[in-house]
Amino acid sequence: MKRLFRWAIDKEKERKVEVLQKVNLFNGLRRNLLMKLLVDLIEKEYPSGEVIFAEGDIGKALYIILDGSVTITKRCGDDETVLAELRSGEYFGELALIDHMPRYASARTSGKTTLLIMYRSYFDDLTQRSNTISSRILLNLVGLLSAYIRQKNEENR
Amino acid sequence: MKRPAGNEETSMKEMRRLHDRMPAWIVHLIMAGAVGILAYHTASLLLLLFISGIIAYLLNTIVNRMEYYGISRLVAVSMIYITAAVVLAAADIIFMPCLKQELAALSARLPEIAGQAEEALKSMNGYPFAERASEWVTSALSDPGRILTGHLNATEIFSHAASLAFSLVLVPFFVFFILKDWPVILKTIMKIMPSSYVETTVSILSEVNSISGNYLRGLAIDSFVISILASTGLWMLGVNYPVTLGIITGAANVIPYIGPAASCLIACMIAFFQFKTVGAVLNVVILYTTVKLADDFIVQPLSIGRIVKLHPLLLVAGIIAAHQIFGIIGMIVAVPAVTILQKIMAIYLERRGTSGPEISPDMKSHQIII
Repeated sequence: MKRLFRWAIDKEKERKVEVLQKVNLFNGLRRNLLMKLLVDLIEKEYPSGEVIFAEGDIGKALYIILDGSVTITKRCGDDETVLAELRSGEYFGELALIDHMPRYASARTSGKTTLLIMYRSYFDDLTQRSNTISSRILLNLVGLLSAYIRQKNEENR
Repeated sequence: MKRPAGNEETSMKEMRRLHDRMPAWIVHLIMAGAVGILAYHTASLLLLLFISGIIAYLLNTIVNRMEYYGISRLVAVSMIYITAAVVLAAADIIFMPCLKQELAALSARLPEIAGQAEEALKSMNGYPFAERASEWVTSALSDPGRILTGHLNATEIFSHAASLAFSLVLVPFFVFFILKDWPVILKTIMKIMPSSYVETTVSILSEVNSISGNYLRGLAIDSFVISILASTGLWMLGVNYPVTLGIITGAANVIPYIGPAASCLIACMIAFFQFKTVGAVLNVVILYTTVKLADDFIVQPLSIGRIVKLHPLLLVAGIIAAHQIFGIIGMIVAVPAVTILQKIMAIYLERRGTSGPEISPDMKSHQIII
């Protein structure tokens, strides 16, 4: 059946859904729900070296890297420390979905990059409708935070 | 005579220097003026684009749902057009004879209705304005064409008919390309958008999308339900032309407060001319009040929800202002437009009020996942 309707399928979207399947925040989401995210969310292309958000900005959105790479940096006095180098299938700015606090670090593209942007009000809308997507994202986020706390506890022991 | 290249270069440099020296507000004012003049001269085209945009917006939900299953946008839009053609053909076969029959009966019975109206109005002799109303109604119903031709000549009627036919071709054409290319248009806008404006722009787009989408979809469902309720009620009361009146009621319902009142007035007039009793009018008023209450307390909360949280005074003022500026279309889009403007203002104020605050010390120790 699928082979019969292959002509009607959007190949580029199929490729991007495969990227979203790698995002651990979306673990457990079915393919058609990932496709919904891809259709509903806004995509933006950034040139190399562009600042996506700066440390101290109020966080309003979660960013998912579809193509390219992003460097996360933190200011320490006059110096700038690189915290992480993120690639396609990774994400950043996830805390913007649950709080209204300033960004802990800055994000800058390190090559031509395409990002998928999930604005907080979209996520709030999903949460209010008790949507599968929002509950799954929240569960995954809680899982990540608990893993982080356990790791910190181990380090402090 | 050919001007030397050096002179051209100097004049370009002078213009650039003049532009750089000009205060930003003058540049913005000139640009706003140019856009205003362009909009004024292309008003009818803009209106067509606007109507196409609204239709595309309503259909976008279906296209998106098809895209969730991986279907390409072009295929999804084409499938909608094919389905619409089939549905229209089916509607023409099934419903149009009923509507045509009602309209034909209405136009054939106009002289008879005129007589009934005259008789009914004569029974009201003694009331203020009854005599003048009687004269106007009799003359209008005995020759309905005069209402139209009294204001327009043959050339104008032909030009209006031609522009309507042109619009009927142009709107589906615009809708097709808006629907098909909307992601590309959005992508291009986002590409040229500076990073510092991205989050605010996405937030505004997200809010506008949420409000207008829910409002328009809710309104379409609301109008449909109201049409059915009014038609059924009028049919049960035995009032003539229940389907036509029901459709008018549903369509007029998109204009808050004024629309339901106007459609109730039309139904009351039909009932009065048909039965020549105040009781029949009262029945219609009770029916329309019941429909309005059902709309306010059951249908609208379910269809439109709590999207529109505007004070009634602001709402009515917005509708009247929109009518004065944009006419009937303005009245229809006034509610979502005022709601969206209110939301944009809130986002703008939020952006201004919260830009660059200090990091609270207790949060610093917890944040590593950004």
